[in-house]
Amino acid sequence: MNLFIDFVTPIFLTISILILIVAYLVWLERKVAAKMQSRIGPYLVGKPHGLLQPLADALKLMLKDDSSPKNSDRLLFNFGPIWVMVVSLASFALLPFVFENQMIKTNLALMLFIAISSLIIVGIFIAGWSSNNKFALISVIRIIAQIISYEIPLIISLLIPCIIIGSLGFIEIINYQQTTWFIFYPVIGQIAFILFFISSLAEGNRIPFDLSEAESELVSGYTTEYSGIKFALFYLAEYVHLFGISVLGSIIFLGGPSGIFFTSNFLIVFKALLLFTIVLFVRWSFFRIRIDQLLKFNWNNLIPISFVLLLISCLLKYYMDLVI
Amino acid sequence: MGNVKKSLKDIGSFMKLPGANMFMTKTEDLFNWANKSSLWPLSFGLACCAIEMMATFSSRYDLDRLGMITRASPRQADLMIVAGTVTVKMGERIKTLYDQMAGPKWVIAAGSCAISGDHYRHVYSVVPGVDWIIPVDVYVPGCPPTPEAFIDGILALQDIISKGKSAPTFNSVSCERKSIDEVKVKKKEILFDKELIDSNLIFEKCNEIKSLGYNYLNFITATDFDNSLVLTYMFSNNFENKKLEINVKLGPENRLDSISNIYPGAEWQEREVYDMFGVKFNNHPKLERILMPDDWIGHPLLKNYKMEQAKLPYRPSREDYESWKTKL
Amino acid sequence: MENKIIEKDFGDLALNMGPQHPSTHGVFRLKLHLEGEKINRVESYLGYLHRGVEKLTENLDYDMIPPVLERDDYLSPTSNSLGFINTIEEMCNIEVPKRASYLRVLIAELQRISSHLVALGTYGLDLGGALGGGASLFLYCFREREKILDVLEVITGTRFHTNMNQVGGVRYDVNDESLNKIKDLINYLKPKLNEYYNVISNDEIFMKRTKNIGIITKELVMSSGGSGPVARGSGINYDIRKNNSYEIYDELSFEIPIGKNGDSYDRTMVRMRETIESIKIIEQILEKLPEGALCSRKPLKSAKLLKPPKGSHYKAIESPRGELGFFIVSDGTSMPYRMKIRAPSFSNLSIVEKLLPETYIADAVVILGSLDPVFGDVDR
Repeated sequence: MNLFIDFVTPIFLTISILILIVAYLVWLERKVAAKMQSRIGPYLVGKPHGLLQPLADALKLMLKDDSSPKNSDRLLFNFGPIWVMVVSLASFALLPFVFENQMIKTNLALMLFIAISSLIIVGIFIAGWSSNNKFALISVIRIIAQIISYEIPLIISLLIPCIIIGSLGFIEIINYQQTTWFIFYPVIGQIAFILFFISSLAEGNRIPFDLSEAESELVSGYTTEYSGIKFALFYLAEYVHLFGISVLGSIIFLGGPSGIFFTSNFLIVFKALLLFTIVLFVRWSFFRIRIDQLLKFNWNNLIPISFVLLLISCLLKYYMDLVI
Repeated sequence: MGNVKKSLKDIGSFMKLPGANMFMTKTEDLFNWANKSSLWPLSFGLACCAIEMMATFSSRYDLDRLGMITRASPRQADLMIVAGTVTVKMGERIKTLYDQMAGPKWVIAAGSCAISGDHYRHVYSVVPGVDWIIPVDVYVPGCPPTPEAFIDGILALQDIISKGKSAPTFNSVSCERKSIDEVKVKKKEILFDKELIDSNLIFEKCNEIKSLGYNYLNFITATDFDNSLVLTYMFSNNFENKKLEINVKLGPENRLDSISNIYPGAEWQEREVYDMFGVKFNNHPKLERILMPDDWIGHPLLKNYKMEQAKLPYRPSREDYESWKTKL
Repeated sequence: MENKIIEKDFGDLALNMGPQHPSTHGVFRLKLHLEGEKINRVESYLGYLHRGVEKLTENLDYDMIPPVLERDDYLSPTSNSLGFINTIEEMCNIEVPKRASYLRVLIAELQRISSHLVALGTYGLDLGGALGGGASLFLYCFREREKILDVLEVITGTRFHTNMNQVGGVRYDVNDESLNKIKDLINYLKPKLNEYYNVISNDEIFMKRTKNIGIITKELVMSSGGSGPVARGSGINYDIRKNNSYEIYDELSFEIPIGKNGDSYDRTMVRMRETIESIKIIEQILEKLPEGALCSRKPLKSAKLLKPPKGSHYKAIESPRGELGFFIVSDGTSMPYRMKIRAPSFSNLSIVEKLLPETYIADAVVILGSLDPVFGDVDR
């Protein structure tokens, strides 16, 4: 019984709060986009500003008929969305998100987080491959090339604070930033944050890097053949993943729960939402770039910069340790 | 929705409890509310009405207020707005798209063309109303309907959904593909007062014209006169603002040399002439039908091809029409 | 055990784009033969919107044809009827009052702006997707277009199938109120169009996606029969409004924007600069608009049926997409014996098969969008 209270309740609570947050992130996105495009956005469903819109969307998607294309691999086809959703939720076990500490207590949290969240790609690949659809196939080929190359600058940009702070655990990172947030660390902090921001845009499949879902080319990418609840899982998982990355950014660069006036775990979510909104601004104001330009940009610019930065921060840490 | 409803009804013992019926109606209301509140239309436009549909999605009218966002993939769409003229060639694709959409699904026929074919309804290639192909829930009249009319149609559809009374109109018709009968038409004598060139000489003539600086081909077309077809080539010399018209009289076998080697733009123009008039071009890289479906019978722009002759799937004959009209 | 290396050539991956695809600008089907992301070969299929207008017009009186034609190129309906009516007027030697001519050009230029705005907006969708920055551009373009449609609604009563033109003149007049509305519109549009031009022409990603993509050489345009912004983007200084002037274009001063490289970027920029030139034209019309009759013929109900003399005639005008011509063969009756519409989109689109090989899938969308085809015009 004790196990039940200790283990199942937090999981259940986290997931339900998370899903609710994410559902309203979609609403937020639609509202922000509408404001940017001089529209109103969702309004009539749930009278003040379409507050029931996410619920209606979710319920409708659940009610829709389930279909899978002829000649598709039914088992894998159904497995794909479940995998993506489970993995993107699982990564939250490591984030000090709702409760005082993370559910899995480890001082290798950051590494585990990256390892788990990069498993999402497997689910996406399964989905695209088993759909028996050419658009989906091209989409997953693109996304694999993209994520493999963008994972490098993402990880290195996250490693830089860890090297300077000297730990991979979120608790230590948060404790270190109680005085100054890492984004205010002279020069290195800002460059690392920009690197993180750009590569997480690519990691989260956002414009200008949303090549896997490129609507104008690939209809809707790997989700082309999915309908109803399975599509909803993909849709939610995308936002869960993006929100996870935003929370990660808020912990590692923006000081997590530490604020000017008070310290609270609520601030982690608040800062993550702030980051998410910036991503929205980027999304609704840029065009999309081409796959070869995307990869060139990564290998020619981001990766060299991140390696140089890594070297500098290693040297800095070495001399700082000598001084102390 | 079918699955959920069925599984709910399968809980037989549950239904015997007092108040269970009440619960059922309430869930159905909730489901209808969800369905009507997030209608995702397929981003799919055919003709002029599609432009007005896009205007309805744009900032001033903003269908996002009603919770509508377009989806490019038919699997995720609930609503198909057929905006524009439905042709026979497109009709088969519309049926496929409709079948690909996951239920529950609705169709709005927007604009006179999608409702009845409008002024195109007697044309050989046009389906007189999309309800010959797929069931239609709401008709939005107009040519094209204004955005206000579109919103009105969508609200009407929401009303239908929330009442749970969807009764789409569907005219099913089965037409066999037949060969066409020749129609006697009085053709005119050749009306051109200009010189007519023999069809064997066209290739040399075009070479000669090109060397004179007429390097721009405006168009190629044909006219069906008594005894023979006459092809008209229009060239222009854009640098001197001069136009040159060449009329070619065809022999009985309707065959002449292609000029697509000299003017690459002639390739599609010649395909169109082949499609519409049955003129065959020697040495053409790809002499296939361009506008009509590949298996179409007859060449529509010939004078002995009656406008409403083609009997194809989704294309009712004049008699079907009249009987349908009198039924109303 | 033998180590067998099995190499099998499965050929190219054939990908169908269309007829229902978010970025084929209507109902067009491209069959791309792909090798990875690269396009090896292209086949195009059209005719999904073939409405048989040419056959239909053989059964209609001349005065009944313009409204039907307005549904053809549905982004600039007035150009269609204008071209047809110009041809008929030349065949029958009908004089047009000056005021009517001015009003025709006024409406045509307003629709040229709205057509180019749609072209730019949908191009945004091609580049940025419906869920991204492209959608923002699209919505802004449509917002400005709505303002133009409002003015058209005030003048003619309809939003864009205006039915303004009739043989011998125009149907509707403008009064002081509607002139003021047009002036307000011009004052509103001028800074907006300049702003969009500045924003788009300097956008880093836009330049990366469109510069040196889909280069059409002068020779290719000339031989394929390309016209309009597609030809002018390649540096061909040919605009029928200037070179073979019709209506009152010879009394107005405006420039013809010309591109240099003939890539997608140049074609888009030519379109955007043309909207700014159209504004200039409208300003001049508002200054010069003369008083006078609207139509040289009796009202349609009491007018005699038009019966052009026997023979054939070809006349072209400059629609927003290029040379829109009408070739009419008359047999002396009140219906045309044969009417051929020389559609600019049809010729422009024929270039696509030659441009796409050796590019990427993403470029295919960009190139197709830069040609700005309208499928009512292509398939007729």
